[in-house]
Amino acid sequence: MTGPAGIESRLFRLSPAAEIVPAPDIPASFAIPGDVLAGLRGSRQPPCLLSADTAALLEHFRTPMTLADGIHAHCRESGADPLSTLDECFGVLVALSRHGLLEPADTSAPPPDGPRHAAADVIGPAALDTLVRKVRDTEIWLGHLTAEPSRRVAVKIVDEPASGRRLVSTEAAALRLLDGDGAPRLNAVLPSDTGGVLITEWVEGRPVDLAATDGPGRCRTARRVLARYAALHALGVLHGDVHPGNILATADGEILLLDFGLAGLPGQDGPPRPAGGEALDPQAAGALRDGIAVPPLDPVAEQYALATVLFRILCGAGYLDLDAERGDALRRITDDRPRRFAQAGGPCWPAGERVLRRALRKDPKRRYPDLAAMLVAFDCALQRPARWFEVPEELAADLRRAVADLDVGGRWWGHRADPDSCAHAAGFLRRAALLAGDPDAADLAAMWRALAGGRLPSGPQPGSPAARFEGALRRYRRTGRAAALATARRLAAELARAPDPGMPHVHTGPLAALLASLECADPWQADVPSSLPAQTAAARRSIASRQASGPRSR
Amino acid sequence: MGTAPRPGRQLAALSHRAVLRAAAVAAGVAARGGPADADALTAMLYTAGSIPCGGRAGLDHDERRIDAVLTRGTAGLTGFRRHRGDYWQAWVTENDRAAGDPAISHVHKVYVSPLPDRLAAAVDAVARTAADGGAHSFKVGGTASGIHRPDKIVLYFDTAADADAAAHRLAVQLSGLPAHGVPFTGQVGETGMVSRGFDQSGLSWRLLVCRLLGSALARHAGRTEGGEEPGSADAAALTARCLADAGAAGLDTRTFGPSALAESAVLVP
Repeated sequence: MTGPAGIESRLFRLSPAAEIVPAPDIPASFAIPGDVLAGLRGSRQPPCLLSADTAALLEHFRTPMTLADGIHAHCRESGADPLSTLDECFGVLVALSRHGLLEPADTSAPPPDGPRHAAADVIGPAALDTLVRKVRDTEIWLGHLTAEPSRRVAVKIVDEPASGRRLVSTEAAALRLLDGDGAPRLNAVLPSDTGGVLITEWVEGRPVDLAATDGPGRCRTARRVLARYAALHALGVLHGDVHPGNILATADGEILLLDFGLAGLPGQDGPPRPAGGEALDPQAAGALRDGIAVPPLDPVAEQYALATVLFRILCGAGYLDLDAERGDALRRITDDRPRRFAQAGGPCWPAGERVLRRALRKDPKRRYPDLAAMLVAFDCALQRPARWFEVPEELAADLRRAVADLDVGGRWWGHRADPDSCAHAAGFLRRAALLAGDPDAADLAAMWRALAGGRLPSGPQPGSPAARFEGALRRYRRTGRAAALATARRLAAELARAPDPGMPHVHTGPLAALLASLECADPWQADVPSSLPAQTAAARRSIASRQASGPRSR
Repeated sequence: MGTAPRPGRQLAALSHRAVLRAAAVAAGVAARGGPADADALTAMLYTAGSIPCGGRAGLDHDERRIDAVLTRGTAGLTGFRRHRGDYWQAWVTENDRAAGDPAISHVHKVYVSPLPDRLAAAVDAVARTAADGGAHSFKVGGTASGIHRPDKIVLYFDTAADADAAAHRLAVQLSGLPAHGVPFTGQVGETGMVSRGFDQSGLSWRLLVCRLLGSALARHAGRTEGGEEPGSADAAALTARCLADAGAAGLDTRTFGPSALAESAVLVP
């Protein structure tokens, strides 16, 4: 567990389970000579392709040292500039620590090894067919009943001296209690001193966050998952391991929960809380950050975990950006507010967003008293359905004309020597490109921005119609009130009636009005920051590095 | 508004348009007395045609969803090993003879470019063609930005004949899907879905072409020609000079594909 020390002062070492091998089977276009594949023995994570330089840097961590010391040692050896190398490599090392290749020097976990069973082994009433998953001391196999070969079963084999026995007995007790209602039906249990074997019916399904692709389908799936957990909690059972991989959606939409080894059962003490992952709640994250004992799981903590999953189902992304070093990720869980749906690519659905925000309160007392209450609130929110907007065809046609006007030789081409006009043209095209997903507008935005010397237009004058329009749209996104959107639409029309500024302009005139209409057609996107500058800068860096280091492109 | 390019010519039109816009930048910079930056122009050309990745576009394209699409699309594929990288996923044959062999420095490429929402349909056909058509490997963008760039799927072949055959087969199979289209590659078929490239000495075809054009644009932008003042050439004139240079270096500037001449020449700017 992460203690109070920050990543800068922490000692890291190369994991004893790390395997670093040359990348001989990768074509020249994927790898350059010297590239290596680095992975963990027995891990489900795919290996990383690393440059020779990064691999050399990694080698320094055969001896435990801080990340900065490792970079300095590498620079002394290679003659590289320490400051620029620190800038370039620190993030890579943090990523490798998240991958597990670099681990804190005080980690004592033994390296994983290969599966202990083989296909065709017979265990109790089942024969093993295919290894589905191996995680540390647990193997999950797809098998069949020897007495009934057409009947497929899941065979979970736990061999872990410290807690295996408890995991198996807890899961068996939970599955017996549920008796096939929302979980696979238990077929047989074969306990052993170090765990044992659970044989259950085999269920086909997809991780729940991947099950639905359209907006209404996401809402339906989220509602079913919430209802499933509400029913579970009503029985006095806590799942204990909430994440999308443990929640399967079958082809007919049924939700089934897997992995009850950490479950809390009626009449028992609360089970341990999860010690990592997106579902970690703020109380557990705070305890991990401070190096103190994590409190046992309770229903309100599991409500938080469930809300993180529902957020991912609805938005297709996490409720927080946890792509950070563990200590920083823990801090974000304890301190940061959840992202808005719009920031995470979700629907315009303030009513549903409010339900999830309450379940994601940092203070457990301010969450719903139980999942039954949360389900009622969610059902109420569904009365004001999420909006999944489409850009109307007539607006799309207007946009195509405007983009053509801004092309080389188009209506506005004569303004190319005026930096202000160029900046406004670039600003319009950048925003329009994102709103409409238009590559042509994106290319032209790059052209006009280059002509503007990299400038973009400043924001609208306070009190101007453009500024009032932005305020109305913000209000709509916050409240979902139709009146706010109507105001925004009225102000968009006002922008269209304003005198033509005689130059490309994003705050008044026809281009501003078109942009405002596009924002109103798809208002949830208005919060989404532009990713164009980063893409262009990344492309330039990438090309510069290819020119410096040889082939690596497509 | 411009007219739609003729079937079979969409990628050439995309490429010419990208050169014209880069030329406009080069001319604009030169007119203000600044030197045109060949690297920046190369980057502008190379990234042309990418769909902005953000907002709604990112909704269904997080990495786990893409991974699931790729898993389904390649479910029946045998004889290939899958590699998951940071930005792409690759499938490489078990006996890839090009691997680690410095003598094999030229690789024949087939690009397949569906719109991001149609990735699943294309991947299935690509996997079947790779297995049946002798590809030694293929790769697909593994992230949202990877599948929003035009060159999101690339197959690699050891011979031009194998690559051509696979490209024609894919062009027919995928002719019903809307195409995104890869600039600076040679179109195969009528829609722009499938195209060809030819890496030389380990250098990417598109990067070679874009560097050639970017360098030529930068060179011509600041040059005095026929009594002109430096920087006075307009975008169209600059484009014509740039393409003439590239043609002289062996690039087929009508198709931007690996013609017989380009395959025998080394396109080093």
